[in-house]
Amino acid sequence: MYLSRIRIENFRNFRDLDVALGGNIVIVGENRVGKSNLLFGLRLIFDPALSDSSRQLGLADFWDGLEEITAETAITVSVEIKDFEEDLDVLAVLTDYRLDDDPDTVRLTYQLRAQPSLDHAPANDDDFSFVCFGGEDEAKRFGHDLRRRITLDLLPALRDAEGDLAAWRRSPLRPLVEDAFVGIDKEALKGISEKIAEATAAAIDFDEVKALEASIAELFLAMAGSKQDVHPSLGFSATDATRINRQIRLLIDEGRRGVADASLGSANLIFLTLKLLDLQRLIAANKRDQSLLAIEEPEAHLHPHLQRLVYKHLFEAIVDGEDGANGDVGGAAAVPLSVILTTHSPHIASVAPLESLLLLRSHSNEGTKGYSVAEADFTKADTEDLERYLDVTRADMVFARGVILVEGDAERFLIPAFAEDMGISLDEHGVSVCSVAGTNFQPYAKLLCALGIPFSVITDYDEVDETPRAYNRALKLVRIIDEASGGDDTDAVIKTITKKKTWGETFAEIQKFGIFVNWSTLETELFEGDYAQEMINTLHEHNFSAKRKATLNALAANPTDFDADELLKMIEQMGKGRFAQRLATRATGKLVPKYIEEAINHVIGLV
Amino acid sequence: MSSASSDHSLYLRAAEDLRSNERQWQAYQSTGHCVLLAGPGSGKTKTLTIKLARMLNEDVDEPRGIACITYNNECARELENRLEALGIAPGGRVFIGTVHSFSLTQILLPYAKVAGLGLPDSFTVANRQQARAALAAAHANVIGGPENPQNWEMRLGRHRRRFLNRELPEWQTLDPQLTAFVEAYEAELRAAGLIDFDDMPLLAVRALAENRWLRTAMVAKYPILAVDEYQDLGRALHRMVMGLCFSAGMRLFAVGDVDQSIYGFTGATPELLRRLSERDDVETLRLGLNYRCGSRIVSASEYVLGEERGYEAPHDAHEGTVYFHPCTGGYAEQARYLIEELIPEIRERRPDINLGEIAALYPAAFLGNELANAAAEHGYSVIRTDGNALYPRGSKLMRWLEQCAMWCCGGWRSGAPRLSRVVSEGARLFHEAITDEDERLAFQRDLTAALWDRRDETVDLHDWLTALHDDIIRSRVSLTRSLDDEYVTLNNFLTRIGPAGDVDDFPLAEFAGIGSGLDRINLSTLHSAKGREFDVVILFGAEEGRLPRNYATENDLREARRLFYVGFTRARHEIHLMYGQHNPSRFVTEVQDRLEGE
Repeated sequence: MYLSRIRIENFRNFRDLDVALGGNIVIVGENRVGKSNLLFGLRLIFDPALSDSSRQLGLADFWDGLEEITAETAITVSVEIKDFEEDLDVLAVLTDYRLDDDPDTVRLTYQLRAQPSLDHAPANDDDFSFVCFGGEDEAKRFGHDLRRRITLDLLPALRDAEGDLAAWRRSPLRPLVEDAFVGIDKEALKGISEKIAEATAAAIDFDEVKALEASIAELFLAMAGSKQDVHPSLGFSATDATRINRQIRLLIDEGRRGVADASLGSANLIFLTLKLLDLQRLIAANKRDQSLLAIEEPEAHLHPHLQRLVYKHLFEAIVDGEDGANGDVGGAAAVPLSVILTTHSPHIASVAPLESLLLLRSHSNEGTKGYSVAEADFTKADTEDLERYLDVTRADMVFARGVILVEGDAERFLIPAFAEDMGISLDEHGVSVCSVAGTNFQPYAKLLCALGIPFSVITDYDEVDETPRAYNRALKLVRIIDEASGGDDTDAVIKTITKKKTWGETFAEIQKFGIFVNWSTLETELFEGDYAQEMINTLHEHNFSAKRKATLNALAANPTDFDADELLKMIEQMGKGRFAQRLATRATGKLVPKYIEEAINHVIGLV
Repeated sequence: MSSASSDHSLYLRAAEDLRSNERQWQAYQSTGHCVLLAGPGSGKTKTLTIKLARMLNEDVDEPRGIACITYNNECARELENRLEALGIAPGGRVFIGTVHSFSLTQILLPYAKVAGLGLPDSFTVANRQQARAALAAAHANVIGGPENPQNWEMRLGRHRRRFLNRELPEWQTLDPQLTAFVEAYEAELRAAGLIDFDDMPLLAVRALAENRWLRTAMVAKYPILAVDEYQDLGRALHRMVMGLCFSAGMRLFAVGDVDQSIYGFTGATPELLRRLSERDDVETLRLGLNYRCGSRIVSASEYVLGEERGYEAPHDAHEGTVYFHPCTGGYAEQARYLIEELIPEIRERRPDINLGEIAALYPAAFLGNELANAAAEHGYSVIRTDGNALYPRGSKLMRWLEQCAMWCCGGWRSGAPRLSRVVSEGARLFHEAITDEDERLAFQRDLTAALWDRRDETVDLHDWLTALHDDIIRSRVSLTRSLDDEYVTLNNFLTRIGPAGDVDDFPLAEFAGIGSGLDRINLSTLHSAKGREFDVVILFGAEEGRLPRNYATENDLREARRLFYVGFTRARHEIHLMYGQHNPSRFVTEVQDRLEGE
């Protein structure tokens, strides 16, 4: 089974969130946008550890933007579930909760509303009561029975992995050890406890130790009196055979250290490992049928490489099964597990399955809205394309408020400098400049449209046989953008563009979609603009051959007469990125090329 | 964990009882589809419950369960009690109920909309009055004329049950007028937001046939289907069993006896069970030992049946006696003979017998009136289970009130019945009104208070019932549509025992006694005696014209014979056959001839 949709109404950050999901959920979004509240919404439905008094929300939990709370106002959290027929246990639990018009979808709903008997507008928390029901009929209540079988576990952001590992009662190791000990012969344990007692006695038998033990006991007795005496003694551990399992500790570094000495990151990893083992155990022992494991900020204390490694494994091997499919011969069988993460880490976003991305963004009057890739209905090819392209640097864009897509490193280095020149800090606005390393903007445009992140595209004119390549490139993007924005007649939109008589008019029309094109390439444009001297100075930093040096000197002498090809060759030899980086330090106070200025303003205007 | 293991030991211990009976043990060990052909007194209910307990513990894991379909609510209750004794609480993973409640609660209520049945939103089940009104309206539209529309009820029902699949051309061609009537009647019901009793299994069969996912879902919830009294459950259930068990993958454990099929008028036929038992993919076991009847009665019962089944009594069984009582005079006179002569003779012969162990069984309810009158004249208490009873034995509400009465008459001291059980059964009864924990608590509080204040066996039943009616029942029954008919039953009963009623002096203890069945002669129709047993059985009115009826068809004859057989085999020690001396039933004559010819 997987969660296919979530809807939240009138709850905390959410006036009306309604978004498709793709199984696992990787929730990204700025601070205070409601990521944890969304998790809490899921806990209202699925977490058996949440008490009914916590489930009983109150006035403070209604969406802030509500003008008044009447007897009809309700907090509603509902999730839809699909593919629940494969596991008959899951099917048995969920089958009654199908939608009236769609037997392949199950819906579970939590709702808080005024008591039905209330004859006035609700005035305090006691005026509300909650129901959990399935399908579309409130009479189909569900409760602990369901949560026991389909369970959400939360590892909260402020988890104390070290502390939990150290305390036996809270340790995720405890159920595993207890389970392992169930089958062990009691007599064998007795033998061990006798040996422990023996070893302890031997250790205590040294006079020095005995003296210490005696002085502790003596002083305690003197201080507490005989009535309160606890008879302190020294030893390695309690020797009761039935409690031996509690003495089992997780050791690290080949048994040299206890887990308390592990780094914070390792402790978190160990914690996660044990938790996953426990989930597997619960399912194998038929204690539950499906786990929803929610982890807040899984990146906490983890080195970036580990973040990628651990969560790639979690998504690929554990959730999907070793061979990607349902664990055919050879691979480990997929655990019925869905992972739900809230994260600020591009490293984790970069290894998450694309359809799991759920972006939350707050809108001033409408509360927080959700945008997901699952909503976008990508083809398999689209998805594979994007998953290939979304490396860490590019995954950064799902955390941005706005994105400027550019062709290469030159733009990536120069545009922030240009923006600064315009008095705009891109970081302050949360705008990322993202290079697609080429001109294949389409998958990114699709992704950004799906996630509702405003963006502009800056691309070169690239004339070939009197026709700018930018033209077809742009038309494809216009189609994507218009369709994603719900345009119902994209062909007409395209026709408006193709009917234009001049390239100037054509690109002016295209600009309305946030696609900005120059008249040649960035470098020649700059050279012809205000940057000739700075570019020559930058090129002078490079150690060219004598012949190139001569060309450069000639250019410096007469910048108005230049061979664009020759200039580009020199820049390429120096390295476009390096050139741009150096040039960026010299760009201050210069005229920003108009199409770049417009592209920056386009995005800034939308974020 | 510990409670689960103790449950374990309960049924494992009980299973030891089955070991000595080879067939029972085989049934207990079965792992695939199994049909248990179980003659009278063969221990089928015991085998069924222990097997159910085993399958729940060993074959079916949480959250999946077992559905057990039985003939009527009383059978369901009996099974629940026996399972509880084996440590399996009612509810949870086990469904136990009739075909109708299975259809309604497991298929129609959860899935009517998504299965595309086109039923009205939040439909309810028609009470008698509503069904009658729909029938009258449809009759006026389709048939017309001055006759009583009720006369059509049986034909209508038979026609509906006959066509499980209305896509067949015969539905239109066989009897177009009747088909039009059925369709008009159902349209009237739907327009009023209703379904009727017959609709339940018919619609469930349709929902299952049309929706593959629904069959899968049922297999997921109930990987095992147990059916008791298969021979009397009719074609709709048979169709469900065929679809669920022999195509969707549910495992079947069916129990029944072709010789005890007596509900032909509801569409049941022994053929269905016989065909099922002859399938290659079914392990069929016949329980051959009759632990109930004396050995003479067992062998005589085969003469009754006219078939060799090879049934035997265990070696150490008592003998049992068959008595013939040719009588003179009308039924009133015969009834007096039964009360004045027969009963005292029996009590003399069996001085320790409790009157509750004596049953007079008869083919038609009016004969019960004669017996009830004669019994009343001589101061005997009776329990009647036929159409003329003070209230029908099948009324869940009345049965529950009997339990309440038993609690008030000393049950609170002895723990029988337990208050928790009385409360939980009440909550189930009023489930439409008790939808959450708060309401359940309020119900428990109200009921406990009401019963505690009235725990006095000498109190007048009318006062007691009126109080319970006002404090507990009235407010909740108004929210519980499924109890409409039962509420009418209760009010009729209240009127009859009230100041203006025809029944005087009914103390609470007597009402409680009905629940416990102690020391009263049982008066029952043969049909209602199904599944029960008594030390002494008197077949009253075993005459031509009554059993079989006049002008019986071949099929009627066969069913009448089975009915006679069912009555005959209710007896442990004595079976008495009563009839007008010149008009014995042909079945009586046959038995007599065969016994004399031994």
